[in-house]
Amino acid sequence: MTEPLVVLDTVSRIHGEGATAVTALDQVSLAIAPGELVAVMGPSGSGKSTLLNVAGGLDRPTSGRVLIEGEDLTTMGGADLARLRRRRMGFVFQDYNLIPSLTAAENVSLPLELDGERISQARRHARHALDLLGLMDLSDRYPDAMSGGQQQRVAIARALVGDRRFVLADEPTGALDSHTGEEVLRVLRERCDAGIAGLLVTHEARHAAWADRVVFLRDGRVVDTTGTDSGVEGLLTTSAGGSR
Amino acid sequence: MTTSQPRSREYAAWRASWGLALRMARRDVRRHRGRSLVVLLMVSLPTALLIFGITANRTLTPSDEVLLPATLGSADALVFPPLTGSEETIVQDGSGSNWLLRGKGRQPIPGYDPEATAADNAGAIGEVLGGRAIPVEDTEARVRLGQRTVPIAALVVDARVGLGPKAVLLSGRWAQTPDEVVVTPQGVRRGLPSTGTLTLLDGSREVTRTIVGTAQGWIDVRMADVVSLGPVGSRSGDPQSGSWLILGSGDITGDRLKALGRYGLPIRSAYLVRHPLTIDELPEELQGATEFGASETRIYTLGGGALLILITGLLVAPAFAVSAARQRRTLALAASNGATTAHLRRTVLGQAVVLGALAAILGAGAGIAAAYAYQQWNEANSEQTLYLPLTVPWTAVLGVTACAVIASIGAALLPARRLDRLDIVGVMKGQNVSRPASRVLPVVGLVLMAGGSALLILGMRRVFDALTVPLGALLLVLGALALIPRALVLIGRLAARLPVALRMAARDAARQRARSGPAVAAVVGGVALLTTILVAVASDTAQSARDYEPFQRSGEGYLGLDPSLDASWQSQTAPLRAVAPQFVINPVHQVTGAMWTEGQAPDRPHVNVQIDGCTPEQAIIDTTFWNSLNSGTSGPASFQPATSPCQLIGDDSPLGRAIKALPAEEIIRRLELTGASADTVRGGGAVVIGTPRAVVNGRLRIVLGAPFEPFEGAEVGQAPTTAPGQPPTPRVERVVSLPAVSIPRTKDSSAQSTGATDVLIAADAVDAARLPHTLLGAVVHDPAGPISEETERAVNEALGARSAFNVERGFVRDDALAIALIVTAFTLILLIVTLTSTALAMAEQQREDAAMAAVGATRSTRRAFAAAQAFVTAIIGTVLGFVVGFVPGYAFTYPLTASSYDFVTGREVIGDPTVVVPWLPLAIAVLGVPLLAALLAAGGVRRAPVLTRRTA
Ligand SMILES: Nc1ncnc2c1ncn2[C@@H]1O[C@H](COP(=O)(O)OP(=O)(O)OP(=O)(O)O)[C@@H](O)[C@H]1O
Ligand SMILES: [Mg+2]
Repeated sequence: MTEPLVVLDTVSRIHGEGATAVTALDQVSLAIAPGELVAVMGPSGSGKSTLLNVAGGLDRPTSGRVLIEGEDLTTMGGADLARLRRRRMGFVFQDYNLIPSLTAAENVSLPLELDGERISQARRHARHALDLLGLMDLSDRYPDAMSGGQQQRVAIARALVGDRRFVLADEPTGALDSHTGEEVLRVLRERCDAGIAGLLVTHEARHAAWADRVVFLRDGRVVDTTGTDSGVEGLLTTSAGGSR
Repeated sequence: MTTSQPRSREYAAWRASWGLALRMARRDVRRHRGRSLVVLLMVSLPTALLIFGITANRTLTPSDEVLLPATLGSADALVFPPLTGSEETIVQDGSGSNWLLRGKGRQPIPGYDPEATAADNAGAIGEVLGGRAIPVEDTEARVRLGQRTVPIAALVVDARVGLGPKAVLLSGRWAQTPDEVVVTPQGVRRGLPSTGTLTLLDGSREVTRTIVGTAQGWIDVRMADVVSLGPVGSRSGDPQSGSWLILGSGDITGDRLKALGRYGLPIRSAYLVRHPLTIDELPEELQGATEFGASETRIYTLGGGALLILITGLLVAPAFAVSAARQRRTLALAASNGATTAHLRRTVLGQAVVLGALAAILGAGAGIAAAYAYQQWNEANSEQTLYLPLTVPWTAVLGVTACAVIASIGAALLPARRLDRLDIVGVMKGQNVSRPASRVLPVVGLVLMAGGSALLILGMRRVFDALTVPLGALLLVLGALALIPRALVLIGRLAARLPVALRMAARDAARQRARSGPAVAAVVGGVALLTTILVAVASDTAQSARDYEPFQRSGEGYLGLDPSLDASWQSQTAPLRAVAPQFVINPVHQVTGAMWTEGQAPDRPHVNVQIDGCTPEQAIIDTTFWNSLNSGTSGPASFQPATSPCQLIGDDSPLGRAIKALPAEEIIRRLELTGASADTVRGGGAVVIGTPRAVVNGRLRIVLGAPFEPFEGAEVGQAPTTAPGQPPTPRVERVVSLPAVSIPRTKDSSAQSTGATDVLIAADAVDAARLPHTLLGAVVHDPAGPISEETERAVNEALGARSAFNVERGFVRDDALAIALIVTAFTLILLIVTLTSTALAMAEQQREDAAMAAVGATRSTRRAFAAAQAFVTAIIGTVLGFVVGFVPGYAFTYPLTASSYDFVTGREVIGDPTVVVPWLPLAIAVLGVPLLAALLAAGGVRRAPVLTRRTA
């Protein structure tokens, strides 16, 4: 088995203190290998977003460790976390992922430019990433001249630009119609097949079907884990994707 | 691997992130044109105003250096004649106007004759200066133009030698003989011909001069009417009236100046005007004043800069808070892509740099352009052409521009400051609530306010210098600003019982203080300033109105006459009769012996009223009082000039209370006398106003005194002065006694008696008693009623430039326009601030809008919310601002208006300040602005797609 890219080691996250304390994550452990797409499912308020935020270093766990390629996020300072976000991982949120004053290509090259790469170099990488996702036509468009699906796909291109190997997506299809949503997930799947690691939060079973593994959360605890071939497909008859 | 590689990578990253920030800023400016325009205006308007102010001020009060082309032209120096009759040397600074007598030991100038003319002495002066001395003189003369005679100013100089910009030939040639003159554009504007001949009146003689060209010629900073070669007018050729332009002497440096001081020659050196002596190089005697002036200028410059930063900061901060808040999602996204806090800050600052620099430069340009336009307008509209080239104080302009950029960066830094704590998860979730308000800040605010108030109170009592009041005001305003967050929280809590729209608006303002705070602060600052200004202006106007002394009865006119004109009374008043034949015109004479006639001392210089209890001698000079003054026992010090109780009315009255003569019927009419009083006047009597002790047993006594004996050593022909420590001896020539009535002084007395007059005598009685008198003018009234403004204008047109006809219209308020402009400007700014903040609030509330729509809210509900948002932001600010601004307004006004003039006693009164609160304009600002903002916000709900566009 390949070395895992991301490791969550008995991670807990408690919001607030005392009587109003909410345990959003309760001793969660999880490992994601390169080439693997892991989906997180669960009812609202079960801690899905919290899990993703902790895994990406946007939120700090109350206890436990988060390792990315062996580096512990929980002991890192803000500048180092920022560096990781520029070089190692990318986020895709539910909507409005793109910076309105930058074109598609500029949005994609943003992390590289922030990292000090030469503009021409950064642009080349960006075009490459857009090309991989079949979005070359959109390079010079501003976000407000793109559809929601196009915006999400550009956001994925950005999450993957350069050497980034880990994509975190929190309901990336939530604001899209089902067809467009499927298209976005197909792209994500393809990139994972090309060797990156993915963590996808969704509450739609047929989207989860694109994943190699589904983690079920309830009240901040992992209650079940299924591989696609073993459980989910049998569980969900409406699975529309399953293109593998 | 070398160590320079990571460094260069770091640098590349730094550069790249600035590049990115500026690129995003530029695009953002273009995408949000409305908002950018607002920021642009907020920075550029105050900048433009300030730069206009300092440029116009510098242009209108030019420095000696700026004036050199007009005063010296291409000459190296201008030399004034040495003081005659003095043996003292002088010390000076080279400006020609700042010199002091130093002590005995003056060196005589070889070949110089103090009795000779400037032309005769030119050789001697040139010799001493080491150059060529060109005599210059400015003289006045009269020119006959058809029926009129016009006074003209002549520059008498031989301009053929080439004086540079001081005298520039425009057409024709320079005068070559004293019979030729050159006319200037200013002269042409005043009606002189530009070709042909001029008829000059020299005393009663007429001389004709041939006009040989046109040219510009400057007398100091005024443009002359003519430039001539020879003397013009009767005062020409007086040894003391000329001076010399020095050509070819080389720079007159400090050392040469010192040497020339030994000859007693005051000098304006072009070199020293351009390179002034430093304080240390100046003669000791002149150091103090210079030092004081310099430090004062520095204080004003610093104060102005600080104020600009504050005002601009206040104005711009809300706009940048808006932009930062709007950018929160963009910033969070950038952060999720690995942007560091520094990156984010650059993004926000990028906007400030792009907009601030652009706006500051535009503002500076606009300010200078406006100053230029003003200068042109001023030149075209002023009677006299002055040498006032547009002078741009570049250092100050650069400083102000830099201040404006700094202010906008500062305003942007405020919201950028919190970026290190940017909560990416929260922002992406759409949360946006301020952190709990600081507990320290309100305490700091209260302390600042207390300190500021204390300073203001001290300032009112004139305890410290002039800086106390502005400093106190500044502290007060800063303190109030520090209280705003707490005030917002309190209001949010108190809002529970308000209708839903207002309640939501108040809560919103309380919870979103990052957005509402700067807007409220800007409104507080603006209204505080407005209140201060309005209270000061209104109080000043009220005081002027209170102290206004009418000169004539309301609706009646006065025509000033020039007694030296040879034209008769009939011809001088002819234009009046021509325009309005129904006018009643009466001559006003002053009974005085103090009028100097051409070149002749008055032979009876003391005409005074003898007060009860005083001797006739005391009416001329009160020796007792004089001695008590000199021995320092005149009683407690007071602000009024010490007045002898014997010299209240007449030529020797220190208060200038005059004796005047009018036809008896005019006196009766003006003072509305009846019965016995009227009969007294008709019978050749006098009326005494406000000084009952001037009438004894129904008679007024007027003492005529001969000139004082010249004391030993005084020059013959000069006004006699007294020997040190000795009062002169009064010589009573004659005492005239007239029947008189005494009436009390009232508020109307000044208007009735033609101003500053305590005794009116029937004209016939003045002639009968052979009292000396001189014609002042004519009082004019229309039996049909008040003289209209059209008639006044028509009369003045008929009179031409000779004299002026003025009709009394009471105190004319001239501050209405200023107040209207100030209120309008502030209202606009306040509206902009409020609406910017409201627009942002509305844009952020879109999620709530959906929720509201779900519970049945309509567009009018949305309008109500928008209106409430605007109203709440504005009213909190205006009310606080009014309270805060009132105190400094009062404090500024108190010392300004505490001293005033009492028309009855004619004395300065201390401690009765006029503080007027102009309620109407203030109400417009305090209540009108919130209401107007609410209306506009409601109206804008539908028509504001840009503000509600959802592009994160
Ligand atoms: N900042 C916070 N303060 C307090 N509690 C929080 C905070 N953020 C999340 N929680 C709580 O943590 C729990 C997990 O929240 P989380 O956002 O991870 O749920 P989720 O699974 O993503 O739900 P959804 O499917 O609705 O997005 C919830 O009970 C939530 O109320
Ligand atoms: Mg969630």
